[in-house]
Amino acid sequence: MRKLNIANEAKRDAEVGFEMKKATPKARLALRSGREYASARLLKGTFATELAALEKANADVAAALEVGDPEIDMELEGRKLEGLSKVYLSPDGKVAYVVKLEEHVHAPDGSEKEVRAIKEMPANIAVENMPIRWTGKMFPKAAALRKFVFARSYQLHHVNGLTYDFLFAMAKKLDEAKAMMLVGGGEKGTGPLVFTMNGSPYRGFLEGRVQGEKYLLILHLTNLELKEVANA
Amino acid sequence: MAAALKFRLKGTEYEAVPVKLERKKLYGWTDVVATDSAGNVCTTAQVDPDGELLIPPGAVKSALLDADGAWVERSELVAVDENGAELPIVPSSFGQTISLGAKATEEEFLDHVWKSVYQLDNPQLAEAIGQDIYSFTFNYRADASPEDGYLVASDGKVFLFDGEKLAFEYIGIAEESALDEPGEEEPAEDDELDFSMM
Repeated sequence: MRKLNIANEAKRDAEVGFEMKKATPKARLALRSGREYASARLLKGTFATELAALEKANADVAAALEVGDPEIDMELEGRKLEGLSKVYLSPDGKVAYVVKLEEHVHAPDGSEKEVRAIKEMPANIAVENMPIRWTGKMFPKAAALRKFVFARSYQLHHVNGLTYDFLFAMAKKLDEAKAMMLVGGGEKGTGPLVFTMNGSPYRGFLEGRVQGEKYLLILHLTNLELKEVANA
Repeated sequence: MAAALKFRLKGTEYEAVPVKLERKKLYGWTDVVATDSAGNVCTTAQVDPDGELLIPPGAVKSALLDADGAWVERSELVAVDENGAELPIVPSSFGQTISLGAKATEEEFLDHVWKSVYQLDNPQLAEAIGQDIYSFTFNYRADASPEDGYLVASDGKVFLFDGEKLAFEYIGIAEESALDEPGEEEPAEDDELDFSMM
């Protein structure tokens, strides 16, 4: 199970596990005959068979297509593809070995707001001495689910007796409050949570439930407010 | 004109066209642009592991092949359950009136991962829903895998959530887990927009 470093209200921290467990799908796709099948990626064309290349090589592309199959490379078409890598091409079609990457930021109306250098965003959920922290901001469950769209939810798991006590206490406090605690990452413990290198940043809300000696502690993640969009 | 969804709640019928809620519409988006050493904007392509085959954008096709490598048409596939029995096709929710009766708890709602969220512009429906959460079976398109639909009202608007239930379970002290060994590969995330919410 993946690891997460989290602190409680008293700023005591521990490494615990987390996972998102989907229910077993009710349906799957199969062939009526019972034959097995698998997905594959196949080559559909090359630069030499693209329209631009055909127009360069043939004065009358339509006529060329009538008498032959210049749009198909008989040797390559349908080849199985695996292990592909992305490359950048200059306008002359040659591979660019040195490129500069920049982010172009657009407003909702499509206008360009800013151009900036790409910043690497490291994961921050399992950093030693930098746990995910309680911010102290509690949201009643009824309010939180009407304010945010929780895109992902992970259950936290204890890994020994001590972390059981640690997580159970958190779950009990939140269960009794019927509220969710906003948690934060980074040095100050107020920033968004990033689960993988250059992954999407999310705001995290901790929800706890208790049934006897058992608990359920869920970290709900959101990067979208439940808000009216301008138009269809 | 976009199709409307119809609902019946406490004997009254309501109608609204769903508008998908997306980060792009609320916060904008980011494109990554590459330029070469001469400052020209670059396009992307793919290359095979040998580095010999350069593949233009759009030239990689997903396909289904059987064990002998023969092509399988997607139309040959049918939805089956865990026993291999063919499942019936559930009609699209757009072709019928959705009856709202079953109410959900906050916990039941929170136990879901959402595929899509839609805004429904009908203030009367929002008022009728109030602080309740209504659950129903939702199918955007006719298929054999309908999803869980929920209606929630917020600030005079109604939002339809479409997703699937997660398998959360209460755990006791005996059910401890083991952490992955250091160095095990982290799963990649989908490439999404920059966070710019708060």
